[in-house]
Amino acid sequence: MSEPSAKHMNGLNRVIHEPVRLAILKVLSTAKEADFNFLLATLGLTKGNLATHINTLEAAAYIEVSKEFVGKMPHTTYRITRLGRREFEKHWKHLLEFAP
Amino acid sequence: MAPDRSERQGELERLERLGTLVNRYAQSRSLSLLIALAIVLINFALLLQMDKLIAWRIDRFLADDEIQQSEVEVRLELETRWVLAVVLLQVLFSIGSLWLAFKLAKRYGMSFYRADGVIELPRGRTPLIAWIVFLIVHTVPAALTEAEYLSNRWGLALILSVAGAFFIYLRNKERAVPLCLVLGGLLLLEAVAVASGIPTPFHSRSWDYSLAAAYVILFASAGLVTAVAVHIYNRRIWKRITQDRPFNE
Repeated sequence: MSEPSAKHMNGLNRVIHEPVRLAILKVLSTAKEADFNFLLATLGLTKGNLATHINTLEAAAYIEVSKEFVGKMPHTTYRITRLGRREFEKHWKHLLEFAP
Repeated sequence: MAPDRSERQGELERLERLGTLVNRYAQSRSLSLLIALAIVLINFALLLQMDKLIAWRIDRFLADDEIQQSEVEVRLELETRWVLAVVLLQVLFSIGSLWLAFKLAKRYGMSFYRADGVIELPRGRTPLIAWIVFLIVHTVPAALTEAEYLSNRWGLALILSVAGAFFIYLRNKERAVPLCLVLGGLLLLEAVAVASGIPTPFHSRSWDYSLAAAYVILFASAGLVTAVAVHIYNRRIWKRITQDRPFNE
């Protein structure tokens, strides 16, 4: 397979291209929603790192965050938005095209 | 460039595997089935008791020799109303308890997996018409058995096979592939066993509810085995997820 063209490289979504954010979106794309603890357990990130990348995805409107209290404990769940799913699928397709 | 590309390829494969495992994990959380099974069993036991109560009341009425001829019609009407009220209560209770079973399983079923965190799959997409067809087809063998067109053995085998086939049909619609496959497969196996003449619970008792009781017991047993087997599978999947995490920070 030929090397990826510059256009292709530019076509890649920089927000999603980062490995942690790609992994977060991969998990969220399989589900309706997931909470912080689930993402933490499945991805193996530190709380701070996960929170930072989630904020980036939320700022890009790729995921929605909903917060509620379960008893006295705060509980935060995340779901991928329609835009996020579309961008993720487009990006994933690009990555598969580049793969040998 | 080549090592980068192969590294990227490995990363994609790892993420693809993670997505598949997460999906399998979310589809195999089976312990909520235990809540539903417990409520169905309690419901069935209570229904039998209510029915016994009706029979006892009617027997008492028929055995009452001291009743005056002039009172018979009034008493009969009162007894009929009483029986109708109890039947209505039974129906409401059955519908209510099944609704409660679904609600409790939905609300508390996932609490068995609280330590793993919460993940929810999109809602099931089984069309309403499929449920209606299932309920009708599921009831027909029972009605045919009641009308003595079918023996208890064949009636039970047909009911079990309809339920088994329906669960297998539900597997992708309800996004619960392992649970529906195991439960459906076990029900079909039980249907084959019943059809081939293996004795079922209560087969030797000439009891009005022997068919229903045998069905409930066989269904609950299949459900119990399914809940345990699928839960073991779920734990294995979870172990693989936590072992193959993409980042180990």
